[in-house]
Amino acid sequence: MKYEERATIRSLRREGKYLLLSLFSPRIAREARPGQFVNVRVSDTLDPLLRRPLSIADVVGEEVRLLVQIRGKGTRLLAEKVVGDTLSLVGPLGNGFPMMEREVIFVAGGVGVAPFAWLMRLFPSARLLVGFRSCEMIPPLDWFDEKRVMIATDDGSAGEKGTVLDMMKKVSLKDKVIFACGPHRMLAALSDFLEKNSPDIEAYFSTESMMACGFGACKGCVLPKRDGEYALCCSDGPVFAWREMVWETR
Amino acid sequence: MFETKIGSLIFKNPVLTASGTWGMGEPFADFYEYGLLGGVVLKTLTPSPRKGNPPPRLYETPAGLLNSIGLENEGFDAFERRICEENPFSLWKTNVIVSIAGDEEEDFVRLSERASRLPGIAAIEVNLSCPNVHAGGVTFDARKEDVYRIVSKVMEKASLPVFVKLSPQHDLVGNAKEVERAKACAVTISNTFLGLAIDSQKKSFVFARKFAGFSGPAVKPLALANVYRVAQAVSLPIIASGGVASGEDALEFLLAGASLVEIGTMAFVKPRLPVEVVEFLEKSCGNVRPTPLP
Ligand SMILES: Cc1cc2nc3c(=O)[nH]c(=O)nc-3n(C[C@H](O)[C@H](O)[C@H](O)COP(=O)(O)OP(=O)(O)OC[C@H]3O[C@@H](n4cnc5c(N)ncnc54)[C@H](O)[C@@H]3O)c2cc1C
Ligand SMILES: Cc1cc2nc3c(=O)[nH]c(=O)nc-3n(C[C@H](O)[C@H](O)[C@H](O)COP(=O)(O)O)c2cc1C
Ligand code: FES
Repeated sequence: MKYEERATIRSLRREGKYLLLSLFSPRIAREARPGQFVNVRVSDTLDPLLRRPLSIADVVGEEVRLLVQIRGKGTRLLAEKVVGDTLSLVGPLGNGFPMMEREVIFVAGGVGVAPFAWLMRLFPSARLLVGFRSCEMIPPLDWFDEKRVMIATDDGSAGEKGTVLDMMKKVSLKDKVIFACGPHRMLAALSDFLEKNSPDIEAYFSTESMMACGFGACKGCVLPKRDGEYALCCSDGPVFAWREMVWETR
Repeated sequence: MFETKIGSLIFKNPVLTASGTWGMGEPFADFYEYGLLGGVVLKTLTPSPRKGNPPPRLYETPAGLLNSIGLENEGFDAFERRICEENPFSLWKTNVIVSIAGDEEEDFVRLSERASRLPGIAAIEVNLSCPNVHAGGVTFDARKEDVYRIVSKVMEKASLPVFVKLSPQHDLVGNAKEVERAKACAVTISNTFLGLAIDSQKKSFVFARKFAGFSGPAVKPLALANVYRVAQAVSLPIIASGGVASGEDALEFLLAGASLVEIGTMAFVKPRLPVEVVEFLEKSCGNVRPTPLP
């Protein structure tokens, strides 16, 4: 069941390019699964018109947590909100990551870390490998179990110098399952890497696309599949088995 | 609430969903009971399945939306099979309107005939604002003579009420007169406006097909003007479509001369908007249809 729910901002913290939001949204919190998203109306006016899709970073009791990178018009408006303001959410939307009794490795790029806050609690021994451009792009990680977070930066300003794939090369993938979330370019590179090093591995990638509705009505959010058809990012995904999809760099 | 009669069909309120913004119903199932609306219009069906255009398919503008979906749909055959097997529409307790389009003229005739035989369907919306493959991609409503000929042929074969949806890119008033002369039951004013998006950084077009359909609140004044102009020219019932974002907007279209109002883009943002519009009209008009402005 999905809802349109008016959520009250319980806490909001702005740090650098990021915003951490906790929203009182009991119906969505109750139904949500890790890897699903909410579509957030950042303003009750008509500009920006469309909602902004944001991953559910975590659910704590009746609160939904969002980790937002401030990028453009919509996310800037979100950053101007204050505690006690309300926001209209539609959700929970899409299909999350599959729950399983397997050893999982989390791989993220940039704000793609968001859904792993919750997943790290559900998979208490899983490690998170995450890449950022530089140390300024690292969000506050207090929602994460930082002991299990391995960071790489392109410029070496924090963690290891290199990409998340350089870190992948050092871990054994045998019998592991991969959950990944990040920009398309990172997922494409990860797909290449798996193709070469571990083609039979089970892996699930969380994707992004421009969206109008977020629930299958507009057919605007298509991503190409290997069988030549299109899938809807919002309602067939956003999490897909990596082998189903085309990952060439766009 | 005041009822609206179009031919033999009764609409318990004047609020409909718009084709292509409501899928085949499933996406809105969690948000409201379809029986609360006057009617629902399904995504346009074509004779064969269409994969649609490559991404990106969407581009946001201030208060507006450009889309280049490319009529992605399952195809009429698959739809027909499903509806005959499952007969879902009788449970919806509202007027279910099937939207059809073709690659060539005869497709409209064939699909109207077949749609007329399906269970649970109240009416057919003929989407003439799509490209004719035999005419270099111009839409079927680009020439008045074609509009008259296609609609007349459809009327011979269809046994359900027929609505004709036009593109605002052509002579809407002239075309609406042809639709009336060909004895269709209503005209839908209108489909999306022609729009273009350019990426100034990449120095390229945003969409593979360059042009896209423009909709949403930004187009409302244009749609309102078109509805009013057509209402002045024909006595055929008008179904308004373009930019409705509130109950007040819907009322404005009724005052401009529309009989029914479709809600599209804005339901992506406010999924329950159609129901809210019904509630607003119930409160502000009750049992009395607002009198169109002169
Ligand atoms: C399923 C899903 C989950 C997401 N989860 C998160 C999240 O947890 N945290 C987060 O910070 N961001 C997330 N995003 C991306 C987020 O939706 C965009 O960053 C946001 O919509 C940008 O809005 P804006 O108005 O600030 O920027 P705009 O001014 O609209 O655009 C700024 C930049 O963001 C890009 N962008 C715009 N819309 C999208 C979109 N729908 N998807 C991807 N990029 C977009 C544009 O191409 C442009 O480069 C998610 C996207 C999807 C599809
Ligand atoms: C994503 C999208 C898909 C559409 N698909 C169709 C379609 O398949 N057939 C059709 O007749 N109109 C289609 N339309 C046009 C709408 O039905 C409607 O006429 C138009 O968007 C104007 O109304 P609005 O501003 O309320 O959206 C589509 C519009 C959008 C935004
Ligand atoms: S965003 Fe509308 S169908 Fe996916």
